[in-house]
Amino acid sequence: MSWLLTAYAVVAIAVGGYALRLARVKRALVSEIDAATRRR
Amino acid sequence: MARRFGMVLDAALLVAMAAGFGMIFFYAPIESEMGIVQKIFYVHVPLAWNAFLGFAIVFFASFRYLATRDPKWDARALAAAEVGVLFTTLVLITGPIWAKPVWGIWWTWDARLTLTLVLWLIYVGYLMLRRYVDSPERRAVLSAVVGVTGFIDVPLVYFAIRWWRTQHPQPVIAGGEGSGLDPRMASTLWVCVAALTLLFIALYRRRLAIEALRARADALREEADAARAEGARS
Repeated sequence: MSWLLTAYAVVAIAVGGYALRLARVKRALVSEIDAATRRR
Repeated sequence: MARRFGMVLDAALLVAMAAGFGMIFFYAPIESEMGIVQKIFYVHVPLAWNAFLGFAIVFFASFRYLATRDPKWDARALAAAEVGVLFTTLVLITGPIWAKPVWGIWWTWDARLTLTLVLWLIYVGYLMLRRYVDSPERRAVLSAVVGVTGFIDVPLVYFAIRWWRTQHPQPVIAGGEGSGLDPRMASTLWVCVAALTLLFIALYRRRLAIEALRARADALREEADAARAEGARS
């Protein structure tokens, strides 16, 4: 059972980590675009 | 419209994930020889198939980029390559976690495993290449060439267990005579394939949206630089 849970945990952590990174990058870009649009 | 589609997609993903996990733990039978560790199969195989899907998108988008020089195809290839590399990385991790208790070893240099590692290296190389080339046009052309030629390894990985004797198990889906799955295992696998395909699409769409935002941010930055230069001249 521990092998199975290890495999599933690795998948969950990797996918979750990647999704969080995408969300963080998106947030940073949106605020950069908002700031640049306000300066125009 | 795109936002609504994204919400429907995310809801479908959650339902498919819940159904997949429910079926893995409460419906699919425990395999008689390997025991419960065989249930790694339900994520390992769909991850591999979706990685192939990702690299097929890279191939198609790269080909389209070379034909049209439209940056949208370059962005699509990049998004698919990144998610494809993530999925291949997970195939290369879940495989050895399954192999150790069953084969007694983490890894062996058989054709399927070695070609999968080569596949991962090709697309990690593709992503590295994108970091090292500064000119956007040159970067897009060079990576499109890698995206088209690198795809040759995908059919090799798929057919490796049919063409050569391997430590990796023989195919259970479309494997010909003597192959096959218990119907409960097969239905669980197809639900997991659907769930991981939805996951692939959800990650791909998010990654692609970032490329669109990055292009917009770059354009605004260039506009601001041009305005500053104009101001300095006058």
